[in-house]
Amino acid sequence: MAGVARLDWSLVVLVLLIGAVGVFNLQSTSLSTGSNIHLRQLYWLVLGGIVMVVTAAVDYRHLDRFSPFLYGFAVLMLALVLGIGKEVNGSRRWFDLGPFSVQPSELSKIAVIAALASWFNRVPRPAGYTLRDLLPVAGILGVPMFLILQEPDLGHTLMLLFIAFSMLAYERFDRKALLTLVTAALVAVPVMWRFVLRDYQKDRILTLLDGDVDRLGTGWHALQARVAVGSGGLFGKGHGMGTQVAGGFLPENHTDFVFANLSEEHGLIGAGLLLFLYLLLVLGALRVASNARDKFGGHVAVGVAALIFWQVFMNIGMVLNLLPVTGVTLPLLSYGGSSVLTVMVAIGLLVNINLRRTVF
Amino acid sequence: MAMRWRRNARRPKAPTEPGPRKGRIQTMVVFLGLGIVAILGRAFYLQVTRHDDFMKRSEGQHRTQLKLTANRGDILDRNGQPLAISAPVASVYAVPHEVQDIPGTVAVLVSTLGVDPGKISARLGKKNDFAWIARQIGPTETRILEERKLPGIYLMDEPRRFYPNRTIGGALVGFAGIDGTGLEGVERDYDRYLRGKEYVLDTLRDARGRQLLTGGYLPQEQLSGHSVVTTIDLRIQQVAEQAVAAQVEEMGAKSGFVVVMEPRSGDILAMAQTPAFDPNLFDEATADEWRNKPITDSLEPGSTIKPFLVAAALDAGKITPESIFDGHGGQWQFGKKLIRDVHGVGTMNTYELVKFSSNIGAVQVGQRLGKELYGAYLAAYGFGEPTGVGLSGETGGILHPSSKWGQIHLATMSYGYGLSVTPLQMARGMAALVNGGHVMRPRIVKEIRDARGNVVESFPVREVRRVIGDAASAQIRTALHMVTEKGGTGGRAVIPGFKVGGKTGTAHKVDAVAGGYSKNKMRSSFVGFVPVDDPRLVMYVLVDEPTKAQYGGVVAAPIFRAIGESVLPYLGVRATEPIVAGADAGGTNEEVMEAELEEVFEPISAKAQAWWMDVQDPAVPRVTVPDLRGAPLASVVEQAKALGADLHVEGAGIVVSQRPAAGAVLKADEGLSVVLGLPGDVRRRVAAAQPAAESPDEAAEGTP
Repeated sequence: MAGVARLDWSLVVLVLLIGAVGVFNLQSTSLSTGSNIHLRQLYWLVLGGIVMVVTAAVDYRHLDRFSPFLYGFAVLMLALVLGIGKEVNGSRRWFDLGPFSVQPSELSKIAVIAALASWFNRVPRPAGYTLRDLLPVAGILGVPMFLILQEPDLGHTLMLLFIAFSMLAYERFDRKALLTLVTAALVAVPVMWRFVLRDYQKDRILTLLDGDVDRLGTGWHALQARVAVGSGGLFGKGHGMGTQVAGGFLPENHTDFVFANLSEEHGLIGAGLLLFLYLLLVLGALRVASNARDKFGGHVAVGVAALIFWQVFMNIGMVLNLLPVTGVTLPLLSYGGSSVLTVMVAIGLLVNINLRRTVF
Repeated sequence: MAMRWRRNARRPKAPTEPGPRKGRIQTMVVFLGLGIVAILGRAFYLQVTRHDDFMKRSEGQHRTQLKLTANRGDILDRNGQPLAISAPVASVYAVPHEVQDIPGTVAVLVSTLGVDPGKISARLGKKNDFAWIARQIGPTETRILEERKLPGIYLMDEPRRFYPNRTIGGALVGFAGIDGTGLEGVERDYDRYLRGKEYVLDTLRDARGRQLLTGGYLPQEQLSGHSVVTTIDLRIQQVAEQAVAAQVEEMGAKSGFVVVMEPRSGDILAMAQTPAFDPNLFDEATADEWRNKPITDSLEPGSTIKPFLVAAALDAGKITPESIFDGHGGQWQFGKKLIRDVHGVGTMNTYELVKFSSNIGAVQVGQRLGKELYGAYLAAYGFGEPTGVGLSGETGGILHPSSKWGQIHLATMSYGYGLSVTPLQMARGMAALVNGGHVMRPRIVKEIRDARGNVVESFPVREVRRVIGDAASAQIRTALHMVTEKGGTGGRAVIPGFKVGGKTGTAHKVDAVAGGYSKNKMRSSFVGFVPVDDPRLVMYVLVDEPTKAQYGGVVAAPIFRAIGESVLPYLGVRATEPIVAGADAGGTNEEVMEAELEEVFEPISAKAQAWWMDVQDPAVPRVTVPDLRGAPLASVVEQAKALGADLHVEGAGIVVSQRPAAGAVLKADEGLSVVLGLPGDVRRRVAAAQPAAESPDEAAEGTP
C-alpha cells in the first residue's frame, strides 16, 4: 500500500474547495427557498469523501480485471431503468429508492471509462489501432449510449461519446481508422439530427440559436439562465441576493442550473474563480494520466479528466446559452447524490493512480 | 517525467507508446484552454457587455406594481367625534413550507383563534407560499401570536372599519364592506370622498406572479380618504336614541323615529330610529334594519298637517288669527261625509282650532284656502319631493297634484289623510313654519376634510325657497305654543323652563289585510319646537303601533320633552320661564287628547279607497336582492334571471361583492352587478365596481 506521504494533496484540496463552493452556493438557494438543501449536499460530500478514500485505497489494477463485471452491471442497470425507472417529465432516468433516487447513467460513465481503458490495455497495438480494432470499442460504447438515449437523456449520451472520443484521442490509429473516425464524427451530426434526436431535443438546440423565440416554452430555461448570469455582472448581486432563484424564475436552480445562481450572486469574478478551480482539477487529472505507471491507469485518468472537463463545459455552456439544454450536472456544485458520488469515485481513481505511479 | 514513463514501461503486460500520448496530453491541454476561453468569453459578454440589458430584464420580471387602496377616511360628528373610523387590525397568514411542526402549530392556532383544525391542517400541508389562517383577529389573539412566534406563521395589518358608537347613528352612518367599499348610509353616499386613493406599490413578484409579501403597509397621509364631517351631534343622537327606545319599550310599540333639526340652518342634529342597528355587525342584521327609515319611509301625517294648513291660510290672507269657525257642535255633514270632532264646540277662533285640533275647523280652513293654493303651499313646504338631503334611498312621499283633488280630498287632506310624508320632511317643514318661512335644504354633511384636517369642500347651508312670511310664522308659533298650554293636547311635551310649541298626531294606519283604516293600529306623533320665541330645536317624533296608549300627546310628546330637557342645557340655551315644581302644564287630560283622534269615515267609493291606499302602499312591486356573496357564477346567473335583472360580472371565482347590497330593493331599470374573486385573495380589489351615488331623484319612489 502506498504511504500517505505519496498522496497528491493538490487533488484532494481542489475537491474540498470546489465542494465547499458548492455547499456555499446551495446555502443561498436554501435561504431563498426555505429548504436545507446545502446541508443535504454536505452529507453527500461527506459520504462521497468516504467513497473517494475507499476507491483510492484499493489498487486500481483490480479495476482492470473487474471492469467487465462493472460494465455488465452498468448495462444491466441501464436496461432495468427503462423498465422500472421512475418517470419524471417524460423520462425514465432514475431508480426510486424511497428516500433518494439513483441515476444509473451517472455511474455508467465510470463503467465505460474503466471498460475502454481495460480494452486498450488488453489489446495493445503499437502500430496504431485499425478500423477493425475499433469495432469492439464501438460496441462497448454503443450499448450504453443506445440505452441512455432510450431514457431519453441526450446529455449523458453525448457525455459518453465525448469521454470516449477523448480517450480515443489518447491513442494512435492507422490512417484508415483515423479517416473513418473523423468522417463518422462529421456524419454523426446530421444523422443524429434526423433519426436520433427527439423533437424536444431539437427544440432545445434551436432555442440555443435564438433564445427569444419561445419565451415560456423551451427557451424559458435558457432565457432565465441568461438573465440570471447577465444581471449578475462583474461582481454579482451578493450572496443570497439573487432574485432569479428567490422568485422561482430559474428552474432546476439547485441541479442543472446551479451555475446561474453562482454567476448571479457572485458575478464574473466568482464564476471565473470556480472555472479556475475546475481548470486546475482537469490539469491535475491530465498530470496523473501522464505520470500513470501503466496504460490502464493513464487511460482511466484521461477518461476522468474528460469526464470532468466535458461535464463542466457542457453544463456551463448550457447555462451560458452556448450549448443546448441537456441534463448534465456541474461536478460537485449541482445538488445530487448520484452526481456527487460519481465525481468522488472518479477523483478517488485519480488519487489511486497517482498513489501508485511508481513501483518500489 | 520522461523517466517515469520509462519506468512504467518495464511492466511487460502494459507496453507504452510514450511519444504520441505525451503529445496528445499537450494537445488536450490546448483544447482545454480553448474551452475555458470560450466559456469565459461568453460569460464576459453576458455579464459585462450586456449586463445592463439583463439587469433591466431581471428587475422587470420580479418587480411589479401593486395597486392598493389607501385608508378610508373617518366619518365624524359636528364636533369631530368619530362615528366611523378605520384602524389596522392583524390578520394571520402562513407560509406553509416554513412551518416546521404542523400538528403543534395547528394546535396553537386552534386554541388561540378557534379555527377549524381540519381546514388549517390542510392549508399548512400544501407546499405553497401563502395561506390565510384568520382575517382581522382581536388584540388578545394578536398579542398571543406575537409572543409565540410560530415559524411560518405571520401577522399583517389590514385596515378594518370600526363604528365606535355601535348602534348610535347606525342606520344613518351605514357601513362599508370588508373590502372597504361603502355599502349603505353615509358610508355609501359619500364613498367617493371617504375612499382612499389608489396608489401603486413596487413589490417583488415570483415566477407564478404571486406577490411576495413584505409585511403590512400603512399608506401615506395624503393618500388616505377624506373625512366626512356630518351635522350630527353624537350627544344629541345618543339622547334621542335612548329616549325613543325607552318610550317604544314603555308603550309596547313596534318602532320609533326621531329627527332633530336646527331650524335656522336645516342641519340635522340627530336622526334616530329604534330598533337600532349596529353597523359593526351589519351582516347579522336584516336589510330592513339597515334602512335609514326617517328618510326612506313615508306615512300619513294626520293632525300634524294642521299647522301647515293654518299657516298657509294665514299667509295667503284667507284667514286671520281672529277668524271664527263654526264648530257645528262636533258633527258636521260635509257633502256625503259626516265630519266629527270628539269635543264639539259652538265656535272657535284660529288658535283654538289648532289647540283643540278641530277637524271641522280644519276642513273649513281648507275650503277657504282652496285646493290650488293648499296644494301649492304643501309643495312649497317641500312635501311630495325628496328634500335633497344627499342620502340615497330618500323618498319624496306622495302628494297628488291638486288638480286631481275632489272636494272630499281637499277635506281629508286638511286633517292629514291622503298624502304621505317622511319624518325628515315633517321636521324640515316645521323648521320652515317657525323660522320665518325659510325652507332649508336639510344638511347631513357639513364639510369634507383631508387627513390633516384641512377643509377641502364644504356644503353650505342653503335655503330652497321661502314659503310663508314672518307674520304667519309668528302667528303659527303662537298657535302651536297654545297646544302645549293648559287644555291643549301637547302638554307632556313641555320642558320645564321653556316655552314649547308643537302639534300632536294620532293617525290610523292602513290595514293592508282587511283594507281600509285600522281601528286600533295607530301612529302616534309629535312635531314641535323650542323655545317658542327663538326656536333652536325642531323635533319630529313618531311611535309606530303603540299598544299601551295611543295618543301622540301621551306616546310621542314625552320623547320630545326628554330629549329637550337634556339637549337644551347642553346647547347652552337659557331657560326663559320659571320652573314650577310638578308643573305639567295643562294637557294631561286624556279626554282633551281624544280631540285629535279623528273619526275616520269609511271610504265613499272603491276608487277613493284605491286613491288613499296608494298613499301608503305604492303599487310598484318591491323586488329584494338576495345575498349572493360566496355564490358561484352559475348560481348568480340563475338568480339574476329569476329577478329579471341585467347582470354585470367582473372577475372570476365566487362573489365577493355585489351591488345593490343584499336586501336592497331592486329598481326597475337597475341592473345587478357582482364582483367575483377568490376568498382570502390578498390581491382582490373590488373598489372599481362601485357606481356613483344615486341622485335623490332616482331614489324617489313611484308617483301616480
